[in-house]
Amino acid sequence: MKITFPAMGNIWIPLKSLFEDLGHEVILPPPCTKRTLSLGTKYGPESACLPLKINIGNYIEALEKGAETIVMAGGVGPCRFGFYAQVAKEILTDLGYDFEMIVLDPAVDKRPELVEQLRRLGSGNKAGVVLGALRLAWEKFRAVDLLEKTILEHRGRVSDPKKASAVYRRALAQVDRSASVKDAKVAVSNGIQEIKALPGAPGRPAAHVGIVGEIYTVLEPSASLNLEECLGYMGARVTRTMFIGEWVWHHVILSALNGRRRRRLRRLAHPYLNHFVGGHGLESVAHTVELAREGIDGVIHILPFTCMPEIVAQSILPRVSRDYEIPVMTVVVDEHTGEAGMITRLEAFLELIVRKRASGVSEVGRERIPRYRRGVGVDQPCHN
Amino acid sequence: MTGRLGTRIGIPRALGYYDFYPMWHGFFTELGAELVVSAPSSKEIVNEGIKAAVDGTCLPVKAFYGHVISLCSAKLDFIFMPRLVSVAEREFICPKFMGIPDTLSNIEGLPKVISPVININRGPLAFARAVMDTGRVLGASPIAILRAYNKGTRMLSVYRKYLLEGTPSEQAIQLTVSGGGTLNRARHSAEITVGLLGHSYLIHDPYVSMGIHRKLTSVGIRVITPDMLPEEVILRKANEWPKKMFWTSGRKMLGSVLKFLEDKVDGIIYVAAFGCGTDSFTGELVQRYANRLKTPCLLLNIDEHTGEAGLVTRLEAFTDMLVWGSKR
Repeated sequence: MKITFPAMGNIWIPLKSLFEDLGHEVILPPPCTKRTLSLGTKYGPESACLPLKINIGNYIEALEKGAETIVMAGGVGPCRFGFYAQVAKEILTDLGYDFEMIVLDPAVDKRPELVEQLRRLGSGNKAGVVLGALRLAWEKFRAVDLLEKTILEHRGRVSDPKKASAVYRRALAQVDRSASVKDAKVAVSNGIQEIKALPGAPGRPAAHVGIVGEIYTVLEPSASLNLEECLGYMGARVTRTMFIGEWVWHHVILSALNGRRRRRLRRLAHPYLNHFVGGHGLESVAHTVELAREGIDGVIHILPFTCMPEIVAQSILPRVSRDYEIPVMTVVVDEHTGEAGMITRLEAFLELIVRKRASGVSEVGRERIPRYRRGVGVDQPCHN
Repeated sequence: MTGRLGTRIGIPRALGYYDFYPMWHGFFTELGAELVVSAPSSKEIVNEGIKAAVDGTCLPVKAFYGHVISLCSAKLDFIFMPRLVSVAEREFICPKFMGIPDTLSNIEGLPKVISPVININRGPLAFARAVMDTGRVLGASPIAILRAYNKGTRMLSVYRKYLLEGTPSEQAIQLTVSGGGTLNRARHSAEITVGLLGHSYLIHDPYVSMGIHRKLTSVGIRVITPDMLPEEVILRKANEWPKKMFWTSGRKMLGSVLKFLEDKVDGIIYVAAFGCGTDSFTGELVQRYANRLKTPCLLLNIDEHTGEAGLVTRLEAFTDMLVWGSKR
């Protein structure tokens, strides 16, 4: 099968490895560009959330490249993500595309279908082959997580963040190329060592910023206009609370044994939010509390416009911010979000938290945030 | 502090009100409480809500905020704001409903809140416990609570029957609460039938929806709403969709539109709240299905900036088109 799947951060590395090892041809959607988003906005529902629009753009561009089968995940609600595949299918069908959609849907009424579809993706391979493919894919999920964590931690520290990004991308490419678990491990440890060895700059990192929010906008740089990278170039150490490998671990592999994690999140979110609200609404509140307790300087909450669960979190976060005296900035993104406006807001936010920190300790002078220069190291401009 | 009798409980006239008020009325009055329903939506009420809510929230939720704020000055003992998670198996209402008691808890002067978690997904026992906990707040005995609950369900089914006959929601609530009465429905020999879709809290709130329902009937159009379709018909039609629609209102929209299209209505009007997550998808599906069958479809996105004049123009253009179409 000629398989494609939508972009979401670095998820393509493990998924490509998995499908290729199972004997499928993988056609990756081209990197998200303005065209991707224009296609999604043109054909997608007007007030749908940004991730769906990017998905639709991805599908169209991948189908143009010759993909025949779209693999997508499903959900059981109440978040809209549960219907992404169905709505996209209706739209692409009306547009006249000839394709097949494999929806891996955990909903109860879809269980038999799920088994059938997993079998098709396994495409008659022996159990050993399938397990080997899964093992390598899992290693790549972990590799991606580790590299992302390292780069977020160090980009704001080093004197040449552009170089750090380059090392990071090279390591990712090496993970993508590695054909065995061992290769992947070597690629990661080399990458991490190299990033850690980069010389630091005085006064850096200037601030420590946490990112919480809706998973797609957190993970996919083209949806957040390279939020993390921008923060790194401005000299901020970034802590993110969501990683794709961890997400897979908690939701796919451990989903049945997930009670403890859920209870912990609930405890953290109490008394601000006392019920699961779908998506990652509860996580956003819980993680903000957690980061605040750990003494982070500020938190950025990112969500797509009209995202239902995150709007609940957005309504609640001002109280967390007040109680813990921690600056929280909400960034709502959609197809109209401009890079310049985003950078201005990030700069202002960083200035604010650096001053706040400085005012606490009187000897420390005001540290200046290095000005972000347009285009530095950002190689995936999506909205301009 | 008032005793059990005459406890004043406030109910915001928004969101769940249009689907469940008769139930709450039966339940609380049976337990001796006095219900105070906020005034019908108005500019003042909605504006207060807009000030209090986050920008990206949909208009109906903003209106809900406004209703709650307006109740804060009503000298209440409690305000009833259930956390409506799920009212049917394996379905949800909407994330914003699930977070409502939390997002509203910092409103100034808010009376004590009764917010039981209504989650059918958790099974009948959890639901029974939620009902019991609610009754116990008023100091009632389990038997009294059970009796009150039965009264509530009876009133709800009476209300549903009125809706099924096509009685407008406010009027149906009046009739249910006052214990019946005859209704003189205007029987018009309408040539044109329009299926009016939209959340009940949208199309039944004349201020928020700018009276679309009445505007249509006043020009002699027969309007059918999802409330006028029996539950089992909606369910059967919605199940034709490849996946279970996990939003209760979404299922109602999907089932209704498929039924309307099967019955060959002349046109479909979908009233959506701007920023509503469920509408963005069900609205899309409704438009696509109507287009495939060449049935005229009008999607009206409503928010606090929607002007009545513009809406009337669009409605008139649409209805004129239907009239011309039927004469051809």
